[in-house]
Order: sequence, then C-alpha cells, then structure tokens
Amino acid sequence: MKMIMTDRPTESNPPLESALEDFRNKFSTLRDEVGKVIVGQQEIVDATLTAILTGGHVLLEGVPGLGKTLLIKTIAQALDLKFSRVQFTPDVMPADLVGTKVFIEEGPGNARFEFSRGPLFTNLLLGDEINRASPKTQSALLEAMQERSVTVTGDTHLLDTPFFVLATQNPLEHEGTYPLPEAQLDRFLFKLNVAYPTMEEFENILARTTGTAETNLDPVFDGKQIDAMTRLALQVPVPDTVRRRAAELVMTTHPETEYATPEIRRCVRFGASPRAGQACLRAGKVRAILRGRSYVATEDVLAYAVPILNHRILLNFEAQADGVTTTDLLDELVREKSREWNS
Amino acid sequence: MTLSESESARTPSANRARWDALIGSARRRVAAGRAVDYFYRGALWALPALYLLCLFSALGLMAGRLPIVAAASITLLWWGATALRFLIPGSRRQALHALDRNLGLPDLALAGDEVGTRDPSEWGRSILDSALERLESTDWARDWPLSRARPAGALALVALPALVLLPFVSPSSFDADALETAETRDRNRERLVEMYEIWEQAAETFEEQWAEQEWNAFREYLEQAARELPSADEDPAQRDLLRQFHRMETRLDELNARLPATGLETFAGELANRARRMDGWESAASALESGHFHTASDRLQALSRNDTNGNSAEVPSLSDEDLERWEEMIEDLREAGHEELAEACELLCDGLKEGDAAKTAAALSRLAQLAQSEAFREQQQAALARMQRQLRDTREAMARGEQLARAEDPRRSPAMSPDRGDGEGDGIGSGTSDNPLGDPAAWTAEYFTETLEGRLSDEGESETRTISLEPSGPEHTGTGSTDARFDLYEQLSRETIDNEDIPLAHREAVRRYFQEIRPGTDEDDHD
Repeated sequence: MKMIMTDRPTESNPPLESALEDFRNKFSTLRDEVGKVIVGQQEIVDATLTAILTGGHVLLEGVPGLGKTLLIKTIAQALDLKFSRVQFTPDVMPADLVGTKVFIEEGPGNARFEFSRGPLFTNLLLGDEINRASPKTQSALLEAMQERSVTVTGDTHLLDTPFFVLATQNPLEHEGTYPLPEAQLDRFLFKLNVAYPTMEEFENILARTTGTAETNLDPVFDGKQIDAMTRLALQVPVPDTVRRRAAELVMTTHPETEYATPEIRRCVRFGASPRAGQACLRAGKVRAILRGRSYVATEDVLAYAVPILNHRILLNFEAQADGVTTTDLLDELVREKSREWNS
Repeated sequence: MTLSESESARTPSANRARWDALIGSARRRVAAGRAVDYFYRGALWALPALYLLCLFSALGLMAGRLPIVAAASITLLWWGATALRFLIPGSRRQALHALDRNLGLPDLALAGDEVGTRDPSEWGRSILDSALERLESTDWARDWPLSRARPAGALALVALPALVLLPFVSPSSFDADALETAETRDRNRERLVEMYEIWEQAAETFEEQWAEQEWNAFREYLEQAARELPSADEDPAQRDLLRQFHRMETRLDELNARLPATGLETFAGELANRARRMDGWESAASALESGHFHTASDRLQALSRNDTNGNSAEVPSLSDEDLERWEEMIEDLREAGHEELAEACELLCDGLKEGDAAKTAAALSRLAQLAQSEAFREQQQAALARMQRQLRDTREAMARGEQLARAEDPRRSPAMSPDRGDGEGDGIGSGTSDNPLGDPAAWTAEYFTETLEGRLSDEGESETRTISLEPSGPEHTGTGSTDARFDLYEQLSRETIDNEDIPLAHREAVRRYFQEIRPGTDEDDHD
C-alpha cells in the first residue's frame, strides 16, 4: 500500500529549522528553570511564557496563596531582565509608577528639573493586586502597556524593551478594590485563572517550601534573545483559512453579528475587540513553533481562545442573573468551533 | 513527477507543481485506504447483513424479528451511503479538508495549499517539506490506512459468527417466553378453541347462503386449522399455527376477490339515473342509487309483477334521447364485462321501446334478481372482512405475546344476518360497518341521558356521573339493547378504573366480572 514519492528534496531547510529548534529548546529550558520553583500549574506557566514571547501582558487572577506572585518573580529571575515590583494600594499615585521631575539645585543660580524614572522603566513589571490601585493610577498604565512609552509634562519617554506587565488580582476581595476598566483589560493578552493545585502538587509544594533548601535560578537568556524569538514567531505564516477562522471566532462573540451563536446572543452584551484576533494569531504563532509546525493551525488559534477572550467580553444582565460565567460560555464556543472546523 | 530540489525551493510555480504532485499522491493513497476500509466493512459487515436479510426472507420470519432486520438494513444502507458519498464531486477546498482529516494532518494540507504554494521563502518550503515528510514517514505509512480499518475488521470478525448464528439462536417474539405465564397460555388456548367453535357454528348457519364451492374451500381451511390446534401439552403460540392463520387470511382475501360481481355496485348510479326518467320507477331508482339493493330488488320485482299483469298502458315510453343513453350504458356494461346486467338492460330497453309489457316485466325481474345477488354479495363481503379482521387481530396478538381477545360471533353482525330487512329504510345491506350497533355516538345521545355533578364538602371533592337508562327514543330489539347496555357499562367501568386510584386486584376483579357477564359468551344465548 506504500506510495513512492519521487519529489522529495534531499535535504530540508537548515537555517529556519535550526532557528525553530533553537526556539523550542530555549522555551523548554526556560520552562524547566521555572519548574524548579513552581510546582504544577504547567498550563499557567506555558501561557505566561507564551505571552512573554508574544510581547503581551498577562493578568493572573486567583485566590491568595496560589503562587501568582512567585511565578512572576521566578520568571523574572530566569530571564536576565530588569524587574520591578509594585504593590498596588489605593494611595499609589501615577507618579509613583511613571516617575516625576525633581528639582535639582547644583549651586547658586544653577538648578534644573530632572526626570526621575519610576518603576515602570523596567523590562518586567510585577503589578501585584493591580485592582487595588485607583482608576487614576490604573489608567497611567494604559499608555505604557500599549505604546511602551510614558508621557510626563509633555515629554514622552520610551520604556525599556522588552516591556511586560504581569499583574495579579484577587477575585475574592471587593472591599477597597477598583475593577479594571475594559480599556485596560483589553491590553492584557491573557487573563489566566490560577486554579488550586492538585493533591499531589500540594504535597510537592509542602515538601519544597518547608525546608531549608533554597533554589537558585540561573538566567536562561536576556531581553535581546526574547526580542529575537518574538520576531521569529511573528514570521510564522498563517494560512488564509486559519486567519479567517480567527476573525470568525472573534466575530462570533459579537451578539449583533450573523456569526454569533444563539447562546452568545442570549448572554453577551459586548464582544471582544480586534486585539483579541491579533492575540489569537500571535499566541498561535508561538504555539505553532512549540508544536513543531512552521504554520499556524486551527488548533493553535483555539488553544488560547479562552484566556484571550474571557476578559474581553461583557455579559448582559440576563446571563449574570442565570449564573452564566464567561469561561463556561467560551468553553462551549471553543468546543462548537472545534467541531465545526474539524468536521 | 520529479522536480529538482533547487527549482522547488525557488519559485512559487515550482512549489505549486510540487504540491500538486504531493496532493495527487496523497489522494491516491486515501483512495487506496478507503478501498481497504470498504473491503473490511463491506465483506465483514454488509455481506453478513445481506445474508441475514435473505435468510429471513426465505424463512418468512421478517415480521417476527423486526429489530434484527432493521439493524441489518441500517448496516446495508450505511455502507451504501458511505460508499456512494465520494461520488459527489467536491471543490478543491473540500478535498483538502478531507485530506487533512483522513491523513491525520491538522491543517497541513490547507497550509500547503494556501502558503506553501505561494510563499517561495523558507517558510513555504518548510511547510511543503513537513507535509512530504509526514506522508512518507514510517509511522504514517503503518498507521494509515490500516489503522481505521483494523478495529472495524477485528470487530467484524467477532461479530461475523454471531451474525451467522443469530437466526438459529435468537429468541422468537412469539414463543413461550413471550407469553408471561402458564395461566395466560391456558387462557389463550381456551380462546382459540372458543373461536373455532363459534366459527363452526357460523359456518353451518351460512352454508346454504354462500356459494357452495367457495364455502367448502373455506371450511377446509377451518377444519385444517382446528386439527392443528395444539393439544393441552403444547404451546398454542406455535409458528405453524401463525402461518396457518396467515394463509387463512390470504384465502379469505382470495374468496373476497372471487365473489361474483354483477356490475350493479359500479353502475347502480347510472342505472338509477335512467330509471328515474320513467314514470312510476322513481322509488326503485332511489333505492338503487342509495345502494340498498334488497329494497331495490323488492321494488323492481313489484314493477315486474305490475307489468306481468298485462297492463301495457303503464309501460313508460322511451324518448330517442333516453334510448341513446340506455344504449351507451349497455355498451359500457359489456366493455366492463358485466354481460348479464347488459343483457337485462338491453331486454328492458327493447321492452320499453316496443311498449311490450311482458318483455319489460321479464327484464325488470332479471334486474331484481341481479340486485338481490348484489345485496347478498355485499353481505358475504362484509362477513369475510369481519372474519379476516378477527383472524388478523388474533394472529397479531399471539405474535406480540398478548392475551387474546374473546372471539366474536360473526353472526351477531347485521351484515351477517341471514334475515332480510323489512323492506323499508336502509335494509340489511346498511349494516356493513365494523360496529354491529351502528354509530355509537349517535346511539348514546339518542337513548341515554348523562349528567355530571360535582360536589365540594369537608371530606373533599367528589364527582357523580348519572346515566339515565330510560329510553328516550324508539324501542330497540332485546339483543341490541343488552349489548348496548353492556358495552356502555363496561366502558364506564373502564373509564373509572383508568381515572381512579383503585388497587390492582380490584381492577382485575371488575374486569373479570364484565368478562363473565358479557352477553353472547354462553352458547345458549345463540340458540
């Protein structure tokens, strides 16, 4: 039954193949390094690292004690990047993040204002409990997250590259918190829900964290290498059909369009923005390389659909009254699309 | 097709050619895989299913094993549908999707077509290389196409002996197991014996009136069936008995079809139209038109006697137009093969044309006889249909393993009554409906008054249904009245049992009570 294929090339594509292989090796090394500290949560780790290689920001949501902050600190240690941490509270002001101009007197008649950079001028910013910051402070992050620059008294200052915001928030506490505005939520590539560890993982955590042993992480690679990996990922070609499916997936979340499913029409008030489509393809490109493909497949688009879309759609009152959650709605949507496109 | 490596790596057109060659090879491979797949599924699934269907058809067991037959038919249909599905021409895009699915290449075929053939860069070439590598890999060659066919084939190999043995070991739906208890079997046996006894009596009653040859043939079947009635030690629900029943139903069908037709059933209306134009013949025409052939026979006979007395002045005259219409009808009758009726009409036509009272009387007398024959044929048809229905109900009940209904005496139907009507009204021929008592709705409304009262007290709600049995309409015959009242009471008891919360034992007691008091169960009732 074996067919004879006569047109096979004698050798493959060494430069590209080696670059892709190098990409996969680096990712694997980084993941292993993070795994020295973080027990389990493999999907969260993979998604966070994917977001970093995509150049996107991540919002981690979970109850206290699940290792959100530790994960981000570990990633920062594993990468040879500048790292800043901001513990957001209601009295943190925008200037505390961005920086401010300070008056410097260098002698009689010789004084000047000098811009003192805030913690935003870093490669990796950990915004802990970001929803405790006031809206004014939260909005200070808007320009930084999208434009990678900040403007102070008319002067625009470029941030360091790469620049990632990895933020955490606690879904349980509402007292003294300010829900993130939709505009800011949209700027996060992923919103990842950190789940409680399994029993086995929990035992492992207890074993690792209740002794005297300390884990020292070695930086795996630096910002330049991350940039190079990001550029390589962006080159991955997307078949027309897959691109159309990504667009259709996002359009499906809009209840007013013909693509919307009956359940979406019933439950959703506003659909996802075009950034969601961009995020699907960018994250899909990274995933394609990691899966050994040199093109984006439909499964790559669907793989991160839930963390990409779940903070970008707004449920209506009826859905909230019925107890419908965004995650359930998107899980069903992804299953439906997967069936439709694979049948 | 062979392309050089450097060429395939440089130009989109070369990539396109290379890709087309690749897809062509893959398609051939898919086709070969499908052939193997169909061999397994066809040889090991569809052919045994076909064997089962043929075997069951040959044994005449299709009706008894419907689930198995349905499963075999569905298998055959499914196989046929999947085999024919690929005859539908598809677009290139659909073909690529099919390749993706069938070859286990998630989106690779699409990427190859949409990117690999257009993008001359390293990426396009990498995609084509991936596809080629995948299609030539040892794993893929081993897994495809046998991976799909292998489980189906293994399953079919296990199922094949089971399918072949199925006809010989599968439980029959009408064997002893289907009948729940020995008590039910005994009761059914009694019912069967009772049915044949009643039929024996019915046969004696109608023997003189039925065509002797036909009736004797029917009696033979009855006697044969009675001889084959199982003894007390045997299971009455035997396959042979059911077959015998089925043959008897077929025989009744044949008897029904062979009852001699006079042509009046078809041409009564036309004959009535022409007779109505004759002075004094209106009542006979009316009876003919309404299909009351006994009445029509009486009235034609009366007209005949009138003409036989030589009163030629009373012979109605026939206009040219009427004559022409009569002749047309006679031609139609001859074309339809009703020679006897055509001759009678022709004689009548001659008598009327010539004003010959004797000829007219003779023709009217022959028409009266034909009407009598037609009326009797209708009776016979109704009787046969009733017997056939009873046979069919009994056979189906036995096949389903249900308890048999009590046999009904076919003589109780007005259609089967050997007595003729009183000459007025609808006559005996009208009683051919399934219900021997006529329309039950009209009958109940006319003869009984029913009131429903509700009451709310401290003890709860209650409902009282009062049936007044004082006849408000004309008196009816004793047998009909008893039957009617019995049916009414039984219906009321059944409704109450259905609607009220009554213990099962009490329900059974009520049901048995009505079985015991059912009129006509005692043979003395018929004497």
